[in-house]
Amino acid sequence: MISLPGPCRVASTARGLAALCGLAVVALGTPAQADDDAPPSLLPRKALVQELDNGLQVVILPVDTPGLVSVQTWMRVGSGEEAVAGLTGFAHFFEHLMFHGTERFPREVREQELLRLSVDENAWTSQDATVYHLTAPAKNLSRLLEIEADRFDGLTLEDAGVRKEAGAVYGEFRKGQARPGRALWTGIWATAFDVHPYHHTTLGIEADIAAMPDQLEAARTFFRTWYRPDNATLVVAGDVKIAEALPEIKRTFGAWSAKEAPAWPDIPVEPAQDGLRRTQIVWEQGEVNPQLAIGWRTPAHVPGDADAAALALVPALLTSDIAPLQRKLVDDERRARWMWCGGPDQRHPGLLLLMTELTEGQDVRAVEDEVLAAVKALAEDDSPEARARLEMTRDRLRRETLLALDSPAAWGSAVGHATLYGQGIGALDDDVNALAAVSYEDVQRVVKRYLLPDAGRSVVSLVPPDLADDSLPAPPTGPEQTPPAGGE
Amino acid sequence: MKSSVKAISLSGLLVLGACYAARPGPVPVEEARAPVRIVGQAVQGPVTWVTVAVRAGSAHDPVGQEGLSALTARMLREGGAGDRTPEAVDELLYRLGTDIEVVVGKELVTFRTAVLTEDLPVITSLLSDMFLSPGLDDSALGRLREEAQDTLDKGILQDDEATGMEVLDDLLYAGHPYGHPVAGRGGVVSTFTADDVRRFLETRYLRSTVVLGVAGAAVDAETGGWRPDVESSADLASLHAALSGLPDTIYDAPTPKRVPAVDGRSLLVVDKPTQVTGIHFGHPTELHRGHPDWPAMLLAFTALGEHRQSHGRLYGELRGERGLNYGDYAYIERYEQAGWSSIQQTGTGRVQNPFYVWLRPLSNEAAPFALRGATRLVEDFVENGLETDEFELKRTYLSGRVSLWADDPGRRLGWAVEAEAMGWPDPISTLPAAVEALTLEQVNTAIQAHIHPESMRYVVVTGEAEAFVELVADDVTTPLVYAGSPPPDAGTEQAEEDALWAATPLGWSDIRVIQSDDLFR
Repeated sequence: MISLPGPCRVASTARGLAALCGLAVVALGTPAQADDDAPPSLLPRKALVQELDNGLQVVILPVDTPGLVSVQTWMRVGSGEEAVAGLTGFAHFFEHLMFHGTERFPREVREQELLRLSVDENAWTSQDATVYHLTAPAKNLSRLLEIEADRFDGLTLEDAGVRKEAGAVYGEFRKGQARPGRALWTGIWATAFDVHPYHHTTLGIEADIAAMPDQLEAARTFFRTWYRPDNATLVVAGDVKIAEALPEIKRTFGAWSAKEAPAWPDIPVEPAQDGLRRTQIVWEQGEVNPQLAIGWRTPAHVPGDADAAALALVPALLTSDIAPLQRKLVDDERRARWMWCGGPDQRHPGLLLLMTELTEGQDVRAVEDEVLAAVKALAEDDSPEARARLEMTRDRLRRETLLALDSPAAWGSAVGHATLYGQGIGALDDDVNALAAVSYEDVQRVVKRYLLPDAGRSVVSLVPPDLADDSLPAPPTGPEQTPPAGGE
Repeated sequence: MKSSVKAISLSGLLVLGACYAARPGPVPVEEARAPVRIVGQAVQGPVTWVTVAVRAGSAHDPVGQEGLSALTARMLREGGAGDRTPEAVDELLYRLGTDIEVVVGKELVTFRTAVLTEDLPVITSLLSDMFLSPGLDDSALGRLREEAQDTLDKGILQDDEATGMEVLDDLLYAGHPYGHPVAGRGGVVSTFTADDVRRFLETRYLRSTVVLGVAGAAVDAETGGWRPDVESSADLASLHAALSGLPDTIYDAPTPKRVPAVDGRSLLVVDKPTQVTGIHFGHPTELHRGHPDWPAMLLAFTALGEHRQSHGRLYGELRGERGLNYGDYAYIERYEQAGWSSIQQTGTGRVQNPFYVWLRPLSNEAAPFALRGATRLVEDFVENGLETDEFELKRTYLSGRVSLWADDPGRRLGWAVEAEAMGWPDPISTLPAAVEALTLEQVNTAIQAHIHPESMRYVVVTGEAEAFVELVADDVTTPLVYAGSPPPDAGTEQAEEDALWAATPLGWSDIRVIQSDDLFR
C-alpha cells in the first residue's frame, strides 16, 4: 500500500495538551519519573522509551483502549532512499516481500498463525518510511511479537516469490492509471526534482516496476542495507502492561541481529532550484476538470525548528475552511472544486505542495495567480483578521491532536512518525512545543523566504486536450540517478 | 445507462422474492410521537463522540429526484444553521478542531463528530440548529448541485474500480430505489431547489427516523442514559430535546420493492479510455445484517475473499499464486471502505445486498483468464463449500476479528447507532458468539442457499471492449501467459488448474457493450 501525506501536520500546544489529557509531565527516556523541570509531554504517564542492545528503539504506550493492542514497526526507509538506477519503487516492492514468511514461519504458516490470533495486519510505504502495522486482541500480544519479529531478521527471499509479488505490484500501479490525481502528483515531484529520489513517486516508474521480477539479488541487498534494528522503531500501544510487554519484546525483537550494511550510493543532494518550472499534462483518458499543482522547495523537516514549525502552519492558512483563498475560489466564485495543501514534513529537502481541481473550463493560469496573490497576502497582510486566523489555527491543531489520538493505532502512528527524523521519540514533543511558539512574524518570515521567490517554485497543470497550451512541456519521466554499485 | 439497463432487463430476467426491510410500511403512531431514540456508550477521557443517524438515505430519494437525500444532508452541514452563515459554521468547527462528517448510504444518512467534552455546549447548540433551523444558503446549494453533477459526469468515471462497482450495483438493482448512485442522476441533481430540500427534511427527518448516539463520560455505563453528576449531560439532554422537536408525522416508508433476479450469465462491458481491465460480478441476495444466515455467510465470505485481506481463496489463487493483480475479494454486502482503513464504513448498511466479487485491475491480456478463474473458484466454493480446517480457522479468526471493527470509540458508536436505526443486532456485541456457535454444515448449507454461480451479472471496465468480448466467448480458450515468472511445471496442480480455467465456458445469455460517457445519466 502506498500512503500520501495528509492535508496538514497535526500539532498542538503542549501545556494545554498535558492539562486536558490529564497527562503527567515526564522526562523522555526515563519512564514514570516525573520531573518538574522537564518540558511537558504528549506521551502518557507510563510510556516507556528504550533502546535495545541491538539498536532498536522501543516505545511502549499503555493507553486506555480496552482489549486491543497495536504493534507497529517503523523502518526509516522510503522512496526517498531510492538512489540506485533501475530500483525506483523498491522500498514499496520490498514492503510486499516482507509478507513472504521465514524459515520458522513460512508464508502460509505465518498467515494461519495470524488468523488464529485474529490479527488485522497491513503495511504502507511513503517517501520517508515503510511501516508494518498490526492490531490484535491484547491477549495475543506475546505470540504476535514472536511471529512479527521473525520476519525482520529472517525473511525468506526466493526467486519465485519475488517474481509473483512483482506482478501484484504492477497491479497496484495499474489500478491508479486512470486517475488524473495520480498523474498530477507524479508530475509535480518529477518537475521539481532532477537528481534526488523524490523525483519519482513511491510506486516507482513503470519500467522499473516491469523489471521487478528479476530483482532477487537487489532485494537481498536492500534487506541487508535498510532492515537493520538500528534503523527502526517498534511501537506497542494500547491495552498493554510495560512489565509484561518489555521482556517479551526483548525476547523477540531483541534477537533481531544487526547486519553488516552493504554500501548504498549516497543520496544525491538536489541543487538549489534556479528558476520557475512549469510543465503540463494533457489528459486524454476521458472527461476531466483542469487541475493544478504548485510545489515550493522547502528544507528537510527538523523537529523543533522554528522555520519548520512556521511552515507547518502554512497549509491550513492557505486552504483550510477559514482561509480567504479557499473561501474565494471554492465557496464564493466556484472556480475551484477543492483545494488541498500539505507538507512540508519530509526527511529530505522536499516540497510544500498545493493541489486543486478547478471547475469546468476554468483557466489554470488565472487560478495560479490567485494562489500566488494569497501567498503574497500571507507575507504582507498585517491585519487583525490575519493574525486571528493564525491564533485560530494553532488552537485548532491543539484540539485536533487530542481528538485524533483515539485508538491504539493512532497512538502508534503519532509516535512512530515522530521517530523518523533521527532525533528519537523526543521529536514528538519538540514539534508540539515549537508549534506553540510560532508567531505571526515567523509565518511571514518563512513565506517570504520559501514561497515568495519564483526560483523555488514548480507548477504543473493537468488539462483536457482543448485547454492545452502547446508551448508547455510534459513533466520529465526518467530520473537521473547514480549508476548501481556492485553490478546489481 | 438507463436505456442499456432496460434492454438487459428485457433479455431474460425473473423477479424473485419480496424485499426485506427492517421497518417496512408506516411507522406506528406511538413510535412516531415518542422521543428520539438514544444510543449511549460510556467512555472515559476528554473526548465526546456524537452521531445522528437518519433513515433518509438515497433509497428514500423521491422518484425523479435521485440525489436529493445526499444534497439535503450536505446542505445541513454546509448551508448554515440558525443565525449562523455557512462561513460562521465553518469557523466554529475549525475552532473546535473538528468537523461534522456526513456519510450518505442507501438507507441512512449519518452525521458524526467528536469534540473535547468542554466544547459540548457549542457543538450541541450547532447540531440542534442544523436539524431544527437549517440555513439552506442559496450559494451553498448552487455549489453542492454542481459538485453532485461533477461527481456523476466525471468523478466516478475517473476511477475505473469505482465505475465498475457502481455500474454493477445499478444493474443489479435497476428500477429499484438502490439503482442509482447516492450522488443521484445526471440531469436531475442540477434542478434541486431549496424548497425541494425543505420538503425532503419535512417528510424524512422525523422523530421516528432519527437516532442520537453519544459516547463519552456523560453516559451512564449501566443505563446508557445521561449521568446526572456530569455537567455535560445537560448539553446532551438539550440536544435530545431539540431533536425530539422534529415532526411527529408518520412516515410512510417506500413500498418494499422486489429485487430483479438474474437468470443466466450476462456480461456488460463498459468501454472506457483506460489501459487496464477491471472486473466485478455477482447477483442480488436476500441477505442483510439481520438475516439469520448473516453470520454463516460472513464466515463463508471471509474464506472466499475478505476485503483487503490476503487469506481469501480468490486472493490466494489470483494474486498470491499467479501475481495477476493487486487483490481479489468477495462480499455479501455493498462494501464501503472507511478511509484508509480496511474496515467497513458504518452507516452504509442496506436491507438488500448483492453478493459480488471484485477483481482489481488486470492487464488486458490476463483479464479473460482471471474472469474464468474467478468464476471457477466461485463455482467450487458453492459446490464443495468450506473444508473442515478452513472453517475452524476462519471461525476462530472472525470471532476475534469483530472487535477490531470498532478500534476507537467513534467507530464503536457508529456500529451501535446503525444497528438501532436499522433494527439489526449490534454486530460488535452479538457477532462473536453467533460466529462461534456456527457449524460447518450450517455454513455450507447457507452458501448453497444464497449463492448461484449459474446466474450472475458481470461488469467489465476496459479500454479494449471488442477484443475482450471476443476473448470470453465460449469457443475461445484464453491461457494465462505468465509475464514475470515461469509457468508452473506441467503436471502440477497449478498447471492443471490453469488449463481448466483457460477453457472454462461461461455460457453467456447476454452480452452488451456500452460507452462510459453514457453512464449515470
